[in-house]
Amino acid sequence: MSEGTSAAVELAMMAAASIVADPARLSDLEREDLAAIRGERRREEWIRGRLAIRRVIDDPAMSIVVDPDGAPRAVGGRPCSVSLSHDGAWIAVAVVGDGMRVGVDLCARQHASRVKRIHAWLGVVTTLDPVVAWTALEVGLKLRRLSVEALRDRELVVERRDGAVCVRGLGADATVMVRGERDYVVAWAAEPLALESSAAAPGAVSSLVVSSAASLVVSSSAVASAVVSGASSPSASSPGASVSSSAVPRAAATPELVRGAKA
Amino acid sequence: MSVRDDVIAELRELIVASAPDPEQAAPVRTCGADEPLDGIIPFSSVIVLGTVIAVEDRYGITVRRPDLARVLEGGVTLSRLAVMVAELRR
Repeated sequence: MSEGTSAAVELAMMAAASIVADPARLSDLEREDLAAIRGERRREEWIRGRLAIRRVIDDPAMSIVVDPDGAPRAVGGRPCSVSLSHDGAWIAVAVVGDGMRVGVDLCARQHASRVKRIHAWLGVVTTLDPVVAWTALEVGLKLRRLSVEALRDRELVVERRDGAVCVRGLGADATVMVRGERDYVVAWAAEPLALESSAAAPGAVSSLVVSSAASLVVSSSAVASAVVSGASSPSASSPGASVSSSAVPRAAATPELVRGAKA
Repeated sequence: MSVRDDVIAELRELIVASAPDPEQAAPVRTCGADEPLDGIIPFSSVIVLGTVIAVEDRYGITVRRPDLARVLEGGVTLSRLAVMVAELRR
């Protein structure tokens, strides 16, 4: 990842099962937070999330602490902003340089009927795939550090704009990149901290790795086309299938990402 | 069993029913009423709002943003949900 203020987002998708939920691999700070989590499944999910971030940021000095609003924050290592989302079999991690805020959300397509009902309850105006619209809204919340109640009693519009998805109604318009796969949708965006109240910049992906049995690196143009389709691409949905790498130099993927992809 | 206990018992079942994986949500059936649910099960926004919608349907109430904010502050618990239901039913 480049140093300094940059909208280049490192986005990694990982199979949850590829990460052993070993609390011994957490830092002392992380183990303190873990002590508050009692449910066994929830503990495993939480540990996997921290270890997933470590696959992207290979920095032994780093700990991921929990901010009061529940958002993960990297401390002790190189300055950066992190975001984490997990759903079912998958984990998504997004990282961006210091001075930026990043948000990522992952939603399994099995939630389509649930989120469709939630959109109706919230009065969200959208013609997009309900899971696509939901992930975009969640990214909007994360970018603006808002809790889910902020979605209630607002005029929310989620629409396509210039090959991305635009979220209107959570402050300034937020431009969110979305990628649809067969089983899930992942969405992400980054914006400068100093510009939180203005329009969010889409997170230009410097690298995207889907980690299961093999790696998948896609270019930002491939991501944009996935947004427009708003649906999964069968050819892209199989872990290990290379969608496109022409627009992204392989060097853009950090060695750690590549290693993680082979885990 | 008090009315509050009755509501909490119903809430446990509503939450399990709202979860995509009822088996994962099963610990809600036995957790403490004041335990943050996010520390018990994967309690995503989809499940939170799905639960709120189910609560509205079950009790004939309307949950607005300030109600949601009170329930979410400090972590959703069965007790907080039960208090919200009691207040909105008045």
